Amino acid sequence: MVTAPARIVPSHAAPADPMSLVRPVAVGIVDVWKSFGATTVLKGVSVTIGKGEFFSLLGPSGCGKTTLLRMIGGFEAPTAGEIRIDGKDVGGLPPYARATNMIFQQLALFPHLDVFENVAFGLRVQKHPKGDIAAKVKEALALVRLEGFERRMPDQLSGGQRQRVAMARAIVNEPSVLLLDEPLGALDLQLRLQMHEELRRLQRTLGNTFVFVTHDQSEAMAMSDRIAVMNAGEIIQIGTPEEIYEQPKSRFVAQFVGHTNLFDGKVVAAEGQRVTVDCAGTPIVAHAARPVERGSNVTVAVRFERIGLGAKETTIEGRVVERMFLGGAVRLVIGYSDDRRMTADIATNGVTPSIAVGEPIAVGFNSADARVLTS
Amino acid sequence: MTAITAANINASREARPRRLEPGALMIVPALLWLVLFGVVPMILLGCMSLWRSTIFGIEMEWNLDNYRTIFSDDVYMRVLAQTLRIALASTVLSLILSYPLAYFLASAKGRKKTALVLLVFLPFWTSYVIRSYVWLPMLGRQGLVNQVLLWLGVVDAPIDWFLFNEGTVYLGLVYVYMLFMTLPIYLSLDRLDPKLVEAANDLGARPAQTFVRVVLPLSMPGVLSGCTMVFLLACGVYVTPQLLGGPSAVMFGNIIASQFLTSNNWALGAALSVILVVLVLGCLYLAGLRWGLQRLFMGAGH
Amino acid sequence: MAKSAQAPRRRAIPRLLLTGYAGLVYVFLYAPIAMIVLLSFNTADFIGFPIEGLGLVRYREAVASSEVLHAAINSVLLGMAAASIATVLALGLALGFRYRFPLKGVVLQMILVPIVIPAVVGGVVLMVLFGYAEVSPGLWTTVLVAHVNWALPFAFLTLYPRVHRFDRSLEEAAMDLGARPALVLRRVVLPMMRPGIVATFLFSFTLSFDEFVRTLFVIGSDRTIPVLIWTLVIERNSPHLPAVGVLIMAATIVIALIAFVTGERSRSAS
Repeated sequence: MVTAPARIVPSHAAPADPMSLVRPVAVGIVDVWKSFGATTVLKGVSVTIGKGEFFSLLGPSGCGKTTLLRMIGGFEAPTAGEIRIDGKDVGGLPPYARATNMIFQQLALFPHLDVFENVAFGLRVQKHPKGDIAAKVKEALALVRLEGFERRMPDQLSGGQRQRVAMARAIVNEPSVLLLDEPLGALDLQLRLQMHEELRRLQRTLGNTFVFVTHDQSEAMAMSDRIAVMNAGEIIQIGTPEEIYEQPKSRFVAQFVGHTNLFDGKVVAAEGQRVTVDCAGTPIVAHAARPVERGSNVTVAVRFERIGLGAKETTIEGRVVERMFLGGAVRLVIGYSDDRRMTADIATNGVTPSIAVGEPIAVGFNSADARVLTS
Repeated sequence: MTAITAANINASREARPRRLEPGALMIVPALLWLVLFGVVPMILLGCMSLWRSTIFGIEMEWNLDNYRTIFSDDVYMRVLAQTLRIALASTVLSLILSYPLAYFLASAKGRKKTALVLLVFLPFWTSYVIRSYVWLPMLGRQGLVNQVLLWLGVVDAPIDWFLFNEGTVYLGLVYVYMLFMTLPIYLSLDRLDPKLVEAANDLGARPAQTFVRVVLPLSMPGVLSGCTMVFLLACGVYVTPQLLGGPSAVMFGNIIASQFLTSNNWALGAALSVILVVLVLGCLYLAGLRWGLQRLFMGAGH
Repeated sequence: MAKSAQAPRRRAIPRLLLTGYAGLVYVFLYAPIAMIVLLSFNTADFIGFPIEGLGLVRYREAVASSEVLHAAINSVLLGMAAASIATVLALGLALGFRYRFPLKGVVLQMILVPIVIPAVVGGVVLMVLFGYAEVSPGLWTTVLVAHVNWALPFAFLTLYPRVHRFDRSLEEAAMDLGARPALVLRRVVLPMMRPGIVATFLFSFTLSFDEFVRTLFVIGSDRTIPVLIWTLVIERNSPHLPAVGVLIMAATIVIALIAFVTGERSRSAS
């Protein structure tokens, strides 16, 4: 049995949330813990989701994001902590009593009902006036661009079409909060990219709050207003996609989101926010958001695409170990300082630089692109 | 490897899948058996139904007398109607009693579930003669039920009418065929994606609504499978009515048996058998048309 | 604690009713069997209540009875013979079905239709066949045929899914290493199918052991256990009948459990 800590103040992993000042709160999660038997899946998670936001829970498998989503929907109950929807504590309310609707990972379309009846299910079950139902279903299907599909059975539809039926089925009930559990996992890349646009457009049109769970960081960044990055049952960082990408607060976030080089070293000089870090003999000039002491061990994060050819504030000389053509850029794995490796994505701009494996090379980056991580 | 010659190349270019692969010949022994002991006897039976039985033996003269007797004589039609009625009633009773059990089994979890299912299976691995017979010492004058009633003082003398009537046959049939109804329904319910129940709840359906709108329709294949099996088995049953039914609950299987074992009127018995087979296969065919034979037999091949 | 305590209670009541009902069903299923077990220990010389005393008298009677012994031996030997034949035939069918041949659907019907035919008819047709061919009823002639007929479709249904699921790439690997089809069968397929074959044999044995109605029509003066029990019930109502019944039940259950366990192991192996 897990015990929630005695203190009331949220743990350091849940940052202070200015959201509540900006818009009304749709979902409030306060210090929620969840254990299944001996395993603790969520450890003191707190987050506020505003009305009308497209909010994503991003993290690797097993981080607890799906469990958190299911608790908002009413399929699991927290072991400790509170969940509030539209200001009301939803406690042990079952799913059919909540103003939420979920789109399941495997969609869970009713195989014995056609598209119309699937979409109409929620309305029928809640005793909606019969006359209205047909009109509402029609509206929902039009929104997801499936007019004319009313009489088809789920097994006659393609993956993308089934996806849209699941969406129509959920939104027709006009839920306060729409929960999406990695709904695009089964689709191929092209379709998935299309769906990103569709979902965004849908959310803007309807104005509902969307809570989206995914392990794909590019997906989260493409669609969300804000993202909560989770790992091992805790929220590591909450912010807009730009904040998460440009200002990762920890090693984990830096590595999980985007492609990053991580340089470990000792601080040899610190002038305000500009620090010099010695990484195995190579001096790196970096930017530190918070002051660091000389002599302390830090990690510097530099994105692959921020590194260019030639000398800059920091220059690293080495040899090309591996070369991969990515279309818009060439990815070079460079060996330096005997056994160290780093990766640089050099933009091609139509002209592919003729760099071969084994050749000596000098790459560099500016301090603005090298951030010192705080944890 | 064979040498590459012009002949070989031409052969492979023209190669079409052979209609009969040599490996298929492994079925020949079984096929011979099936024809000799399966097909031939059935044909013989059909022929015999069109001959005549006399005290001297079978007269192989083609005629329709047997069928005429069956369809004109009240007795046989009454027994047929009775058989259908008993089979139908037993099927319905069995369904009502078995569905909740199947639901209970399907909703159990883990090792308990295997144990519970096994416990339902166990009684059905014993001979059904014994399983039919047990109701005699259960309901007889010196049976358990009567003893309990006497001991409780509910009655003064043992009750006679527990046994040897139609009701006893219902009891016996439900008892003997319970697994055939429970198993397909259990398999059907077990296969149900729990996410569908969650989805229904999520969309606002209360537990009762979820059951009626989602669980029940999706368990229909199992229900149909079970009902078909029990009905067909009950139509042709012999032991249970013979043992428990008494004269008022004679079923078709019993009169067929008596033609062969007692009355020695094989031709009439053959005709009755043909009618029963036609009835059973006919029902199966119709059910298959309506619901698909694959779905009906989902329980087989345990 | 913000969690409402109502939700679990609301869901517990129907659950309790369901469990209670299931309990009643289990009682319904086992009560008659328990009763027979109880009666088998009854020292009175009739079958029924009240219980005069408890003892092994009836069991001693049952075991000492020569007709019971003969019937048991008959049933066991017959079962082994019928199971062997049925398993071999079914194996041929199951393996053969992997290949192409015409009229596959018709053959499948021929195999499976006997399951649907009522037992009485199943017995009667053999009676007719053997009557016509003037073969007199006997354990190792007519009864054996009846038992194999009954067991064969089930043996096929047990073996076929396992054969069907067999990983072809194992055979292909064997052939790649130089083995001819017959050798592949002997050294790769059959050994891997062994648990399935054993399960089929045991299952067929139990089917033969318990077979009654078909046997009734083609058995002459011999007795198998089910036929003996029938005679004891109908003709004599012998007091050691429950003891015989219990012994048979125990034996059948043990064999069936072994078949079940072997079957489960083979399913996870293939």
